[in-house]
Amino acid sequence: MPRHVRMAGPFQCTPRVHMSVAMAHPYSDLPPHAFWRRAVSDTPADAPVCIAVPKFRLSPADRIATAGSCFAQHLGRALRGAGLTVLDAEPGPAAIGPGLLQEYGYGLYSGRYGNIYTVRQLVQLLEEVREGAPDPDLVWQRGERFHDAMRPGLDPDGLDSADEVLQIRRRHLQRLVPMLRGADLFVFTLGLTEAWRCRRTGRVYPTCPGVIAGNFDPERHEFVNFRYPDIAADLTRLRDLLHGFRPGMKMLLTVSPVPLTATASGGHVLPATQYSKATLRAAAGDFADAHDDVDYFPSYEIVTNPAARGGFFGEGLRQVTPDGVAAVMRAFLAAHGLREDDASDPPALAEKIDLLCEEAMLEAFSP
Amino acid sequence: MSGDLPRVLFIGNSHSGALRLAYAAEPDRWPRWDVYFLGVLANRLGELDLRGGRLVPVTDAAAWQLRYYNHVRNLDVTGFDAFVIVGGTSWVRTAGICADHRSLDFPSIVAGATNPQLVGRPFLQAALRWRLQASSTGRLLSRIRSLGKPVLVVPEPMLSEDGADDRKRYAAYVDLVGRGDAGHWLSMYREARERVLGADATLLDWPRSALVDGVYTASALMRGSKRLGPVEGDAHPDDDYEHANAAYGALVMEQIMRALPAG
Repeated sequence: MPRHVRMAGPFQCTPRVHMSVAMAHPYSDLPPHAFWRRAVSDTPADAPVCIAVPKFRLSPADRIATAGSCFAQHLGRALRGAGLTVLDAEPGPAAIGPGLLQEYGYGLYSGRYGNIYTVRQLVQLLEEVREGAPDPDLVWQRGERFHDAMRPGLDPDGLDSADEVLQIRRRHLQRLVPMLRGADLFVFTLGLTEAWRCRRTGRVYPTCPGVIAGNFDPERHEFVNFRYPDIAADLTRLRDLLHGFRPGMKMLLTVSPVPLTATASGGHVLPATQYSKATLRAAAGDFADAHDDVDYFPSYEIVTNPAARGGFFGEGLRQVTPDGVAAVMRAFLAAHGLREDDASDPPALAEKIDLLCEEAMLEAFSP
Repeated sequence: MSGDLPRVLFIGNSHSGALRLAYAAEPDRWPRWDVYFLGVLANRLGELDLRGGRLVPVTDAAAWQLRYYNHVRNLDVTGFDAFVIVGGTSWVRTAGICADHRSLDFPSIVAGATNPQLVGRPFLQAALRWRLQASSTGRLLSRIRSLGKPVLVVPEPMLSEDGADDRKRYAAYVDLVGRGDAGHWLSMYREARERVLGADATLLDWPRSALVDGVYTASALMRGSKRLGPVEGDAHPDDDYEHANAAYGALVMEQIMRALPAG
């Protein structure tokens, strides 16, 4: 695949609004990308044309914050690779291997908050940042070690005490404030509708208690599958919170194409996945349509494109292949008139990249 | 060379120069071993591989330096009875790891420092272990341990006390000392060093008599140091605060000879 990507600007993709004299109906003058055969059947899956027309184009001057489910880690790397300014409130120490840094949550997003799978989880985080005080209940134990329940995979060996977890979390929250106040754009990848939450406080967790740390207690924990109205309301709250940190901050939403590892909904994981993705897709799209400062990018659609014939999913039909990631990122960068930077550090777009992904740990419980 | 003496090979970076000078000045002071030196600069130490009992360079730079400094293309090391790796663990450079990342047990954090990122001690331990594994000594040791011979690892000298005034170049280290964290970090470093390298080598510490406050080297043992050279190198510039002179080299030679097994 070409390292350099230059595509026509987005304006060629904008539907023409004039009607020809000979026009008989609204379909007669539509551009090729409006037709399935031309845009999907006859177009290579790794080079969709005009699949995104950004409302606002990114530039190297934009300061970008990223968050989301594990697929979002790819997006952050691609943005950095394209020479954009991706903020990092908590960079790792210099001259330490990227694998180790990633294992401890460095360089994944604009803060060391780990994967954020649901919109509700991000809303919670921003409220916590605003208040500056972590909830003392959010400490999970595994054996003699203690974990931050909101990022349980971040310190694989755990910490010495609950107090240490809370002190570290408090400092983490403090460091996010200037980052959020300085961000021009917040890129968020929506991952799941299913979550587990505390019955008493309503706080959702990134993983079910007991999977990585903590203990599952049906008296204290309950399953929730967020519905469209919940997600729509959370997106509104999210935008308000972001504007509280920086008025006018733009949002860019995407939906992760990565299927659920497991569903706790009681049904089959395939329809559960489709429900989750369809709901997130609809909510994100509608929210973007309703706000000039919110855009949507079709990562989900590019990876699940039937023209790929499933080829963008690797072994296990869950993880996105490097080619799939590259197709998404190439389309994203091209839509914004950007290109992969040769000078950027590897891994390049098409290289295999391991993601830090707590949700995938549920696979260990598969019978 | 005496045919009946055990043979030890010193493999080192530029810091091996001080030991070589000390030994060249007084070879009879350490009569129990036949001593040989193989020196290359900086990270080239980790670019020597062991193939068929020979130390061979795996990069062009290492190949050039092996020839320039040692007059060999590669070296059969099967005839040596012990090895000493000099330098290549870079204690001073590790100060950067905890410049902005510290755990609750650091004295500066206990004293109320609020700027650095708070992290768990396991992360810092893992970072130190990673750095040591990736160091040129870590890589070289992982290769020569298969020879089954005793290996000693000698650290680079600590920064000269003269370097304490050079914040421009040594800010991380000077700050580490200044905020009172050096002793704590050093104990974490020693712990990591033992865990990463200790199973395959005997790890020597800095000669105690050479240290000032436990974190700098006395300037008298640093001033007048010389570069590694094919024969005898030129003097380092006056503002070189990292390399030691032959007097320091002699102190370390004493340590090494005490630590080597009886021939």
